[in-house]
Amino acid sequence: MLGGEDAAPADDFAGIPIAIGVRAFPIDARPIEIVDATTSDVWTLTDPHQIRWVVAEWIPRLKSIGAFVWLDPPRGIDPEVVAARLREAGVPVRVKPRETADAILAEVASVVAASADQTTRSMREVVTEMADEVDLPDADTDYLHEILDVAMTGAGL
Amino acid sequence: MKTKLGIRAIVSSDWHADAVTAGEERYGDVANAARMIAAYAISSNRLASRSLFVFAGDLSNPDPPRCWRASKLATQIARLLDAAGVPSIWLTGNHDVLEDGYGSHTLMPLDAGGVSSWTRVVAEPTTLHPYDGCCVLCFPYVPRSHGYDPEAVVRDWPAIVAPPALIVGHLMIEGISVGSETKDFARGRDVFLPIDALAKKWPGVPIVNGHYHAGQLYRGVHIPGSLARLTLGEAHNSPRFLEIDL
Repeated sequence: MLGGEDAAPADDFAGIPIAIGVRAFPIDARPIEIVDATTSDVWTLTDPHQIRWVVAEWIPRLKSIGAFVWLDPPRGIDPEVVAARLREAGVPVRVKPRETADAILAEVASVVAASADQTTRSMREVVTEMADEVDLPDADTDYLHEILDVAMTGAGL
Repeated sequence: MKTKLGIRAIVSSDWHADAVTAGEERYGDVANAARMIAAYAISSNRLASRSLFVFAGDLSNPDPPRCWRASKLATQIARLLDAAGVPSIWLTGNHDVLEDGYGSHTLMPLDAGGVSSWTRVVAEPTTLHPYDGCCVLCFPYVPRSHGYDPEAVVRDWPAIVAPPALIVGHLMIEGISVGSETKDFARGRDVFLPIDALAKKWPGVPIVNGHYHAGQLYRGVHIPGSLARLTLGEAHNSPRFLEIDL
């Protein structure tokens, strides 16, 4: 079936020339929004009611554009209150506590490697101290210990 | 617009119709975009400017149950195109193949064996002629069980055969900045598209390659990119499809 010589494509669906004889047609794709320490003040709040109130303000916009949200909170912040509020409202959310933990682990590893007293101080203690300093949630601290154990076992320590 | 052959290749890739983003299945988004592209290929198909639909690989992984829905989507679109007289070419990507030793992949349900339609599934290096005078050279992903050498395909091209009008691949590209396709969607092995050999042998022939999710033009290779933002690493991508005059 041919459209025929008179059946030109709609004017509002034109490609953008990107090279000689090549055109790109944009697709109206759903956005991914990253909510992190630099783009939101919600992480400075401690009262769950306040958090719910702030997050509720985001929801109409996030839903209208069909956004997927990645929560990347600062260290020591539990993002679950925010995530729960968004999930209740039907906004797809992914929380990234593990990346926070991974960042700390990398820092721990570099500190320990550079430390002269690494033979007298266990890495496990270092992890616990650093996690306490930033008030890391228990689940994340446990995760750090788990992967530390795996790494140390693998290294024959 | 009348082109040299009077043909336009409508190219997309990396549908990943089985993808899940932040816990939400992306089938609906991908299916809508894919149907829109097919609709454009059909509506713009005219005697003076024929459409050729090209899928440059990565429909779905073969292992999740969601792969059946992805295969159904591709089959539906291939049938729509075929019914409208638009030839379609479907390459396997690194995500499509199942390393079972039999050459299985997610595009198998489309493969009518060339008996009754002009839908062609390409899982090995192949030349196709969807229209008179229009040769398309295809470099699908190179599986371990059915390997081939892309350099040798170019080197051994018979001198008496006319050059291709379009080159399509789903291989790696040396030197390109890797994105989510390598970090979040890592699968398979690295076999590179022989860009220098292609450009030397057939200068000016358009080259298009799937695999990479960020649409771009790199070393003369047009990369359509994926149809949706599928991971955090794709937040800044601008999904699209391409139309190439042949």
